[in-house]
Amino acid sequence: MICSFCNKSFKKNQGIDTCSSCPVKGCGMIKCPYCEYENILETRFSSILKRFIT
Amino acid sequence: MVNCHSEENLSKKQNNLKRIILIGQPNVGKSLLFNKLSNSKLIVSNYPGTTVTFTSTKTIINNKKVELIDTPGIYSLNTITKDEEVAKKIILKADADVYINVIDAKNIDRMLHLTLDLIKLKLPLILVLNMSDESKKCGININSNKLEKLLGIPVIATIATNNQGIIELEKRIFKPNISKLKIKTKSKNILDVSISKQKIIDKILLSCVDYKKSKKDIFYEKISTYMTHPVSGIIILFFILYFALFKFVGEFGAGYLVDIIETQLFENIINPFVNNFLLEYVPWAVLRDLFGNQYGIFTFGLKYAIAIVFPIVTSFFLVFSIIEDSGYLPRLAMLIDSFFKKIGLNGRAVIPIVLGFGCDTMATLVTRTQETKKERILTTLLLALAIPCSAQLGVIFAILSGNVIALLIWFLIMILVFFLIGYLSSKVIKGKKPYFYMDIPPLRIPKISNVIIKTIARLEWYFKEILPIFILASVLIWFGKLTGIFDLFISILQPIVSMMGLPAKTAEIFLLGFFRRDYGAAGLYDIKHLLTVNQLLISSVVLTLFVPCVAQFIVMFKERGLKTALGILFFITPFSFMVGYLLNLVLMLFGVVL
Repeated sequence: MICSFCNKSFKKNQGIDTCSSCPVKGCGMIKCPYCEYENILETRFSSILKRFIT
Repeated sequence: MVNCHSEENLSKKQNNLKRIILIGQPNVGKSLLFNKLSNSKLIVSNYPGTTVTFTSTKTIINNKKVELIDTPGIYSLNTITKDEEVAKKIILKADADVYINVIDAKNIDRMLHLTLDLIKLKLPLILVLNMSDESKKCGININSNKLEKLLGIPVIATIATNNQGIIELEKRIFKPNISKLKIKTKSKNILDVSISKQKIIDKILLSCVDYKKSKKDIFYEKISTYMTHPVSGIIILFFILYFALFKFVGEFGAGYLVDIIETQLFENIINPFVNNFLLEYVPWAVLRDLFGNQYGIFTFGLKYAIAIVFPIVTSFFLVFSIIEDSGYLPRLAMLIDSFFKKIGLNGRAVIPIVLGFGCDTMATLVTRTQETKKERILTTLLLALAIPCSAQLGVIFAILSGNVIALLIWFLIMILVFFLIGYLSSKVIKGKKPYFYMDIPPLRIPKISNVIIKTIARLEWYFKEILPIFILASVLIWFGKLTGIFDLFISILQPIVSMMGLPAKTAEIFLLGFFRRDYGAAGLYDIKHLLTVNQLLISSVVLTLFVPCVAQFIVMFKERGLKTALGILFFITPFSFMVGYLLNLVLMLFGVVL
């Protein structure tokens, strides 16, 4: 995926996991390893919708 | 034959084989070039950084047996991801005969940073300007002969998708060169190194690249410059705040949409239906209060979540996705870098601050990425104190939108508190001065489909998170009412709120605000008709400054430690009430009736 802040490419599994230390688990964010900006992860519903829109 | 390895399996170079390594940033066409040179059936994916493992093949080029290695995408030798680490290890350990640095020609100014890193390593190098057709379309004409002389390495322009330049690359592939270009830096500091490299790149590009920019590019560049200029940048920022947040989120989302859903749907249809149903079929008043009436799960928890918070966060997420996709945020970081430096922060703090407008809890987690301890504590404090979350912001805009002066006073108080507390805290908290450096990506027009998908994904995650909490809060309030604990807390808060000139009812919203910021905001929206504009202003100021919600406090404790978290909590609580009290006093003294 491409970071919305710094525009650099990274793989989902390279994103920094913060969920383990957050009490509000499952917010669906993934942190860019380069700038640490939190990007939204696609949900199942949004990816189905994506297929229709794009 | 194509093999995939882990980097530990990088075999020793065989004497009869020339080893060639392809290096470059993600999405520059390395894998495609690898495929063209090897004729193998490697799958070429446009998705960034195909795999952490690298790909190699044995093939024949110019009648010579070669081992061709494709490395994962790497932005710089200061590696961050595992992909980059693997690529760096291969570069340093492979002892190759030829290193081919593949770059995207249209982004040559940013791509040459890695090239200079490789030159510094004294590697036998070839530079491939891939996608040269796209660079020409963008008006970037590169004189590769001149560039070759300046860099001291062979430079070959290619269009790998249609084989252009591949034959020339094959012809010159065994004639790499170790550049004698000297790259001197003042210090090993990343910022100094980057500035030095950029100066060299600018000098090189000035003499060998002809930019014929389109009107569109010139326009984008001008806009970008205006966005980061201290005067025009602030005007643009206010313009965005006014139209995107005040008009759209505040007036449209929190005003118009909430009115439709709350009044038309919940007040007129759902709540009366639930209450009548409970009255008819549930004989126990205690159970009726759990599901309906004033604080019931359906009539209170769901109403707040669906009728008040949902329209506000939807409009906020929509606007946020547009801003995010336009490339404005890094420019905002550059703009406020100089302002933030005065309070011991830098432009990097924009990331948690901006995210705080979505959710302060998540934003507090992001503060761990800041460079110095001083920055981390300062940002945590400012997030807890002066940054309202999306629902809070929407509600405040909605309830104060009828009176622009009241909204302006609220805004000025927040700015004043932010910078004053930030400035004073930076004097108290000792630590190193931070620096800020980042590449500014190009401005882009947001894709509607992308914006919609992001908004929906955010909403989905948000509701998964808040619905159970809102329902739980309803149950806790019901339990608190049943046992008298809720009324006890209210009675403790009531003298404080009356000192601020607020009615007793507002004590409830501060209590709700501690469960979740948006819960308190929804509560304030619900009782707005009971308050005067002066009282609405004071409530909005106190609610924004008031103690962080439970989740944010837990994160503060986990990230900064108990001492700092409690310190922030014990500072914010009396401070917010003191500001409310002073505001009320000033308004009364000057006889201001908004």
